[in-house]
Amino acid sequence: MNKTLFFIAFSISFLALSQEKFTISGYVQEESSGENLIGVSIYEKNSRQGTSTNQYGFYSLTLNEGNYDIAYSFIGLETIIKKINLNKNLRINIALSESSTKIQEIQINEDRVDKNIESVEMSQVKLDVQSVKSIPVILGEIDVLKTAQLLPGISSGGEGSSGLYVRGGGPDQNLVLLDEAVVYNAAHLFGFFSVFNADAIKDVNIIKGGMPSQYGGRLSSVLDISMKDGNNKKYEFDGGIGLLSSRLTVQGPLKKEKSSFIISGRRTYVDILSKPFLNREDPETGEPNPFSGSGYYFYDLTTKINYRISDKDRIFLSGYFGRDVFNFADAESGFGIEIPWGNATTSLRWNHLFSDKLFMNTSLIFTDYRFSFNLTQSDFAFKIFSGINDWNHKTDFLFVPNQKHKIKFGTNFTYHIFTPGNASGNAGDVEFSPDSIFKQRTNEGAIYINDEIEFSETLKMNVGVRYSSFQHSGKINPIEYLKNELTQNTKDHYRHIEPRISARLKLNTTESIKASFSQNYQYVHLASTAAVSLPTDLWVPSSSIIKPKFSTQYATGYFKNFNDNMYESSIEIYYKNMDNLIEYKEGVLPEDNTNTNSDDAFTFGHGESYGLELLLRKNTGRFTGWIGYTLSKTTRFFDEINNGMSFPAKYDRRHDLSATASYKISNSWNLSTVFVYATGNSITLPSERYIIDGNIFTEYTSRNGYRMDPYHRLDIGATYTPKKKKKFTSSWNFSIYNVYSRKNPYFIYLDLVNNSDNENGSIQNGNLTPKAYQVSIFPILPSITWNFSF
Amino acid sequence: MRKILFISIILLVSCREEIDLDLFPADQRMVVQGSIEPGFPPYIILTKNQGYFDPINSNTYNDLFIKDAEVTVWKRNENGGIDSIKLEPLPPPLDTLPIYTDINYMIQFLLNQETPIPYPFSQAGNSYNLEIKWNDNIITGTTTIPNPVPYDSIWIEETEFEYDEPRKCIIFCTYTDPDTIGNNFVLRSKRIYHGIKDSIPYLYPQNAIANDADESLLLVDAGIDILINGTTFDFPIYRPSDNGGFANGTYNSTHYKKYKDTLTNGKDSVLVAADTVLLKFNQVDVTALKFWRGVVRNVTSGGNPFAEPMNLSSNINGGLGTWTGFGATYYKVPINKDTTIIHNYTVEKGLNILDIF
Repeated sequence: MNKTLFFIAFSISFLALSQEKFTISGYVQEESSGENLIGVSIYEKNSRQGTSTNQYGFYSLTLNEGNYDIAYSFIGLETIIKKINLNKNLRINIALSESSTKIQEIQINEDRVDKNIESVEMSQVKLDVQSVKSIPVILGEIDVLKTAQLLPGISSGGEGSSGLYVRGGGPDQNLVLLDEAVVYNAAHLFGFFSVFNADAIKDVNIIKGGMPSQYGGRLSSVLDISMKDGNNKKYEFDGGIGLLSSRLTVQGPLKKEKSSFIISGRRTYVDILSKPFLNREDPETGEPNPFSGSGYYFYDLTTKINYRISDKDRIFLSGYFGRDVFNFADAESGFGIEIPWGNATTSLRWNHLFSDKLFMNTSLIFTDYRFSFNLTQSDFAFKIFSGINDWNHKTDFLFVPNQKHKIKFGTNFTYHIFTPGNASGNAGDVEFSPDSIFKQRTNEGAIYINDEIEFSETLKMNVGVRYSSFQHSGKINPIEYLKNELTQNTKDHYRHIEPRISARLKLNTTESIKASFSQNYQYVHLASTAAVSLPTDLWVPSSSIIKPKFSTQYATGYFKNFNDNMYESSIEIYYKNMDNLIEYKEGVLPEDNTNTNSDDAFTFGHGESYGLELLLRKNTGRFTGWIGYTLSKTTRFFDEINNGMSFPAKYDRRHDLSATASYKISNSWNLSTVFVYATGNSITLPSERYIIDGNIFTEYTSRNGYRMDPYHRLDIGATYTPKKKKKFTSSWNFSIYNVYSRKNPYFIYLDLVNNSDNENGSIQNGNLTPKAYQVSIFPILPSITWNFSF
Repeated sequence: MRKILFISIILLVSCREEIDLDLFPADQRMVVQGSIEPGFPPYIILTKNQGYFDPINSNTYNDLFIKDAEVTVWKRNENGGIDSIKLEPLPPPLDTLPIYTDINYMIQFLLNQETPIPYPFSQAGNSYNLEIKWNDNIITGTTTIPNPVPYDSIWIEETEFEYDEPRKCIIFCTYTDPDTIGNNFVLRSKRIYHGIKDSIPYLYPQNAIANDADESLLLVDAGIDILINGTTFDFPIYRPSDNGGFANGTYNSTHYKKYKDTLTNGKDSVLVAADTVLLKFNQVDVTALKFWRGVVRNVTSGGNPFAEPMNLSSNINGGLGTWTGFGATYYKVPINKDTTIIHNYTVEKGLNILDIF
């Protein structure tokens, strides 16, 4: 705590040093929509001193008195250079546009800033939603997470999966933020689609390592997604009709240039399309269809309102609501299953400018993730449910005393309510409801400070520290609490210091070397029994038994730009060490812990990951794209798993190569392609079988001891945009997924195949044959999507 | 449930092909399926594991059974000493039943066909140790027989049926769970009579009864009482499918079925006789529950590729399988509409050792 006070006092002292300097500050917007732009580079053209806009489009640049050419540059928009005479503090709000509308005092320049070289951040990637939209995707469903998987260091869970595995970390080690609200399960349809509707997204920032201290609570990565604010100049309708789902977005001003809104919705219609095939009875034979009433759909709704109270104050209210619903009904036996699950988030945020140098955002956030499994059979009903609720308050300050320091500090407090694995049911009129629903209430808090210090033009450092704390708030279910002897061993209060340091050494205008060191603690854990992210996975808090996860990551890299910054390239190497990783003990069934504390079901271990990542990227011109390659190794060590021997993580990939390219032929036609190659996933297969009770059981002896065949595929896409008719624009997106129909392994399973005429083959009669099968799910899949906007 | 998730995935475009796999070689291990319950001698089935791709034929199947092990079951008596019994394989020609048990008891029963007195060694509330010597290895296990908790009553309800359809019944029961956590149950059932009296001469001899009874008790379900602790409730007991899977079948009750004869295109009627079912409702300890719950899960999840591969949780040291003490209660249930059964089926009423497998 004392250290923190010292930091704040230290940073305030910079105010005294900046008396003969003046500050230019303001917001940068996109001209046609009034959207605040994130990550716009603002720099003095000659000295190249600069900064960039924060998540709310705000910037602050302090320079000595004088005349300057200040450039505002953002990829895809035209750079504006503004001549200023700096003899007092200036508030300059800028609007960048796609077209070359010229205003007298503003010059247009094609200059670009070499952020790749200049910035102190490494292992970070910003995804531009526009370029995400041009990449061909499966069934035309645009997905930021799938695009993120094409970056080095990030791998997918498998075919079609939107799960992210960053530098050997598990899926629960990613901090997924949607307008600052934590999203616990970012996937629809068993991981095939992410919950983020690209139409409502403004910006995606991915941090794979060297996490700045304003982020915490997760070991591996940050996926910070900002929603659009809504057009504050005119009404706009955008939508799309695809094979799998349709989307509609409406945005517009509530009060021109003061307040705007956006509502965006999406729903799949596989259930509606398949309904005719799931009639109650077969129209020809009159046989009842056993699966009538079965179906699956998901929908999500994203909405946001903002209001500019004054030039200094602005409030935002944003929300996300999404649900997946899976129904299965077997009419004949009266057996039915309904599985709804989904996330809801709400964020209320207030931006306030205390001065040209001090910006504040304070947020109140509510997050809800819930899963339910409802089974009915005749009069008997059974329901398993789990979930997590967060009430979160955070305040972040950005303080820019002068050009040498950019200080971020703030606090973050979350009250979590976990409801892991509860059940209730009824048989006829008799209700089974356990004495109390098992809930765990915990507090997670953090304060942080981070200073981006420019020691010289060559050396720039980001020095930060985060102090985090976690504790159960008094009682959980008291009986269970006693049973697990947590009260006798109240070591469930954790406090930790997490240092975060990164440095950039600029060799010349086109080359730099960067390094980072970070330590992270994670207090909430995902317990999974499955090889893919399923909604049945449970989130559980740290306790006296479940220790917080801890990681240390070291990374260093060489960054070089070519051809006047047209090409960016980087080589990074990293080493990451992870402790207190969590897995279910061998042989434990999650349902054994229904309505109780599941701490005893887990076992804890250690993980290690290291690798090399190469990236070559072209961001501008008719031809854009990137090639990413990762060479890595990820292992796990658990005393109670695999007989204590190390084993490869599920998503361990030796080689992972992705290439994307997009070529703009004309204003009407754009072509794009993706190629992916990855080492096969590691899997566990049984090596032996035996008989119990006449049934055959298999025994697994080596965790993740086998590799599936390598994964590779090529996708191509084309977008045709006919000429704009009045205000109406539309585009047709054609894509072909897996062009050469590679049969990529999705999973492998072993089966004893009955080779007799008899319905039930048996091992007694010797009419079974052991066989191995590989299942591939997506062959060549063409798709077409029509998008419109007016 | 996972099976259903799996089905939904497969409904998407998918393609399956057979591949060759080179699996790790398997060490030879003993597989124990041992059982002890009040009033009967313990019995165990000893087999060997096989490599996954090892050939399957009638020879390899017969070779799986271990016949040369020394098996002892012992318990501590009230005086602090040890009571033990030896279990041996049945001698020919009885050895078609591949079990180790107290052969004196078995022979006496088979020869005399008398209802024997309850076997005093096996009692609820005691712990029993199993020790097996085989190929210079010692394989051990420990289990406890919990106190049996009977059902309050059992009755039969007819399901909805349409004219021309066979009439089916479901067994219902009322159960009061004791007000303490830990009453884990394993439920098994066996159709001991399932006959078809047929009047179609070329299909069956005149008035013959084709009895298609289950060979042994089939697993219906296994579970814990966290949710139902201390409550009284009714629930249905479905017929387990012969090859595993969700227990959701029904039993036949007496009726005439209009039989559509495909050979003559004529119609005839068939008398479907009422089934008789033996229910075995057991209380088991936690380690046994884990094993049997795993069996249920494995059988019902049917090779779900997403489940983290899970081995059955064995309580056998030095081998695979289970040594389970069953706090068993039996019910002999004729499938007749509106029948209600209050009392369980006991040794005094004719329950014998052949019923318990």
